[in-house]
Amino acid sequence: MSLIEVKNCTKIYDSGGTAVEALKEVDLTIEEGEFVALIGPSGSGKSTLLTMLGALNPPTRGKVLIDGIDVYDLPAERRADFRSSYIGFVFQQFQLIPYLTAIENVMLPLAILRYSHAEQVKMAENVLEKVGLADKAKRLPNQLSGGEQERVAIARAIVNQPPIVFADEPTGSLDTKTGEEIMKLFHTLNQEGLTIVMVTHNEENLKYVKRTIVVRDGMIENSNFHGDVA
Amino acid sequence: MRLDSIAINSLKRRKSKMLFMILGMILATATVVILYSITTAMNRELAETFDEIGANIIVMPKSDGMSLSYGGVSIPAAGSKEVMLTNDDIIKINTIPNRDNIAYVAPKVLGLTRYQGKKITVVGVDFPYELKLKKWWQFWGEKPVAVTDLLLGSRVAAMFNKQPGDVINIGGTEFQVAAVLEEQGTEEDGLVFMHLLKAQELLDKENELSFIEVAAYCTTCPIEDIIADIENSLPHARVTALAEVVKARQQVIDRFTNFTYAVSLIVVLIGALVVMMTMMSSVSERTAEIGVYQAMGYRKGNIFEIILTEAMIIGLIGGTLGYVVGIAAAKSLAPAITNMQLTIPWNPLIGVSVVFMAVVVGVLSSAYPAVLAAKLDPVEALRYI
Repeated sequence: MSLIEVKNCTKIYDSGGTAVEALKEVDLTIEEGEFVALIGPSGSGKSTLLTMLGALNPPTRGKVLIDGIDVYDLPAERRADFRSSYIGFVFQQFQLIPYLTAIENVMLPLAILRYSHAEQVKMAENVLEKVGLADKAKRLPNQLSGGEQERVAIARAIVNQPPIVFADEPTGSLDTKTGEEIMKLFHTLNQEGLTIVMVTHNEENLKYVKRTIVVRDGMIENSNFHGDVA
Repeated sequence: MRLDSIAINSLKRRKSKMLFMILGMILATATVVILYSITTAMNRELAETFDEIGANIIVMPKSDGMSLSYGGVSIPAAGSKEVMLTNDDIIKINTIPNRDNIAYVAPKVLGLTRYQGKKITVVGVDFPYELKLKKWWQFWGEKPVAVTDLLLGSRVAAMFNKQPGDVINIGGTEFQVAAVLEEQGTEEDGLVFMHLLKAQELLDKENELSFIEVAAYCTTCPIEDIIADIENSLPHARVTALAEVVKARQQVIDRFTNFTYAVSLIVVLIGALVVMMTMMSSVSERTAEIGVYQAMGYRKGNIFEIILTEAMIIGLIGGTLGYVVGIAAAKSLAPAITNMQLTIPWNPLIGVSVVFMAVVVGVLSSAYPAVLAAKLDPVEALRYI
């Protein structure tokens, strides 16, 4: 059984009274431990596919199964619980909560789980150390550089040890060198067993992934497995 | 990290928004507290002032024979053999359980006698209390003080051509006319008021009373309770409330109170609107943040809880400060606004109630923005990123 299975999914948006087909009968499987890049021109449907895989955006038709669970068959509240335990998100603009410190941001996914404060702190400190920010835990986002904020966002995505992380253009706001460091971090996490699905426009990033899926006009144009990476 | 920590940090680090909302809450709460405190104190003061003017309870002996009338009240005729009221009854009224709600007790004895061959009606009164009860009385001359001082009704004075300072002899006793009442347009114009003990002696009704007028503070205690107390202490008496008087006074007080409630309601609504608009703007600004929470797996209830916790904190702080500011302002503004010396106390029970109400208003006015936040479509919310 694949970790992620997309079965004949179509997504139609209503855009000012006009039906827009963002995804057209997409079939896709992603195995556990894969590092997948979704690429394609703007408006091709990459982000729609990413949010659909992330249990945030139900398809108009079709099914999305993660670990064998039909996620859109779950009621909204159970689907939220599912996201909490299965999925981590990394957004392009980091999307750290500006009034919380780095460690508080990392603890956010744990706030709705049954961890004591001490456990939350320990887990957050561990992941911050893993992303190299143990010494900046008490800083607010605006006191961190772009790369550091991205690392906090990654730490937040993995703190509750989800099997999958979805990243939407994670290096889009970073300079080349910092972007490279972030991709290396993703690569390390993938090596440790984390399944990562990433939307990117940056071809430099593709050298770290195991598979590239090209999305065009709402359809998967091709899906290439790479050999050894990075 | 708990959801309330998120709310607390959100408020702590978005100070201008928080201060704006708290200020709105303080203004609304303080205004309500000022209005409430001043009007409550004024109500009490007005009620007491009203209650002290004229009687609102009449105590009479139980009797069927009623031939004398005073102030619209029928009194058993002189010489009636029914059980009369006595001087001891004054003490009994002043010692009822509800004695703190008794303003004045004004006993009276009525009787007929003759002066210069003509019948006159004599009323024996306790002048100090009588004059407090009849604050509207205007008279020419000096206040009656001595036992032999008289206060003549205007018609009697005219009939016998008497004025203050004149000496008259009634039943062998020399009395001095201390004052003449200005025309009242009532039977009081035809009466001769004298000291109670002297009247009892003159009318041969020693220790007897015809009736007793009582002015009670009926706003602080229902008049029915006071009447029941007097009836228990004086089983031989008939106790009657002057219903119209009580009703008229209550209507004035009620109108004033209703006006206060209406103004308070408007102020609370304005305060609630300020909090609601600020919360809605806050939710709108935080759309992306809410999308991030949803992506992390926060349930609608979690997001609702964060927003409402913020509202509760604002209500708690705004309500507490509003109460303190309101009472302090009421204390300093009340004399200037009302021209009265009002007592405005710090009342912990009212303080707690005010804070509770502020929290409720804060939560209720944030409920709609919180529902909007919780119902945000995560994909839509994440588009703000």
